[in-house]
Amino acid sequence: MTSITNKSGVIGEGILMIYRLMLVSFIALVVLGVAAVFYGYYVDVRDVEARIMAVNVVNCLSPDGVFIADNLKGYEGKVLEYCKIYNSGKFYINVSVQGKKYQDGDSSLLWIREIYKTSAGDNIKKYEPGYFSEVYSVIVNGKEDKLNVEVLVNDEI
Amino acid sequence: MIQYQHKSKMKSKKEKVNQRFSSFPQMNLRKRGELMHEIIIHLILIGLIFALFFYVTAGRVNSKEVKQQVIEKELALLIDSAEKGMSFSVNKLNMNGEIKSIEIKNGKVLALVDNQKFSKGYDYFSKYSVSVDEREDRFIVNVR
Repeated sequence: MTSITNKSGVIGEGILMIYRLMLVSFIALVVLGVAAVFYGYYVDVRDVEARIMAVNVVNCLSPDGVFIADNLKGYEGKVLEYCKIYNSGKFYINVSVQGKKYQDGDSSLLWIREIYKTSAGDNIKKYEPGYFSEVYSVIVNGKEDKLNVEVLVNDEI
Repeated sequence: MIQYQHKSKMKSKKEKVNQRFSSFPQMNLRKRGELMHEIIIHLILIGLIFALFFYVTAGRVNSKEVKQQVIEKELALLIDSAEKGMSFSVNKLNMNGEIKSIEIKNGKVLALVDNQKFSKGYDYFSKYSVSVDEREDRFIVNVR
């Protein structure tokens, strides 16, 4: 009888110990989470990346300011592949010349940006995609025309 | 044989009774020892959990992670905007602390500041091949 009560006592103590350790771990995790949010700082360079990407794409598509549409045949949806630029999946590029569109990446970033434009609280502002848009003057078929570039950069998370 | 068993049983019963009544102070001591033992184990485990917690948060609290982020992003942007044949140097000792290493791996720039051991890295998208040379007091990033 004594040994049985001893055994159950030991088991009970073990369960209590696990419970205490779980409680301590939970508290430590909560403090860790709070510290991570409180001390974490995010350096946002997505707009700059978008600008650099736009310049790189324009230099690639119209070297010396001349745009030749025939060179891009078969690459209408793969502009970055044409330019040999690696896309890690965070970019969306949209180039339009003479009503024709050349794209690359995930176009859903456009409507994500629309959501942020209409209603975005400050707490989720950091998830807003980086954006750059510019109109460049280029020569297409011997005539001056406009090349519109739009670049969106997804957040890192 | 039966007699012997009986005697031994009797003896053990006697011993038990004697023990029960004669060793109260010893039992208290044992209980105290067990309790101390338990408390020490608890303290060690709690200490370990909090040490792990401090180890994880230390990087954030002393802003090393921000310095690392700044160096990695600056380098990634420099690489992205660099033309073929360009190279630039980064001093090991600068305002962001002491840079222990700069690596280029799988399209990412990885920098370790002070005694950091881990970096997630930051993507760059340059179409040129990038390499890093380590010198005595600086790192040289080459875009070829």
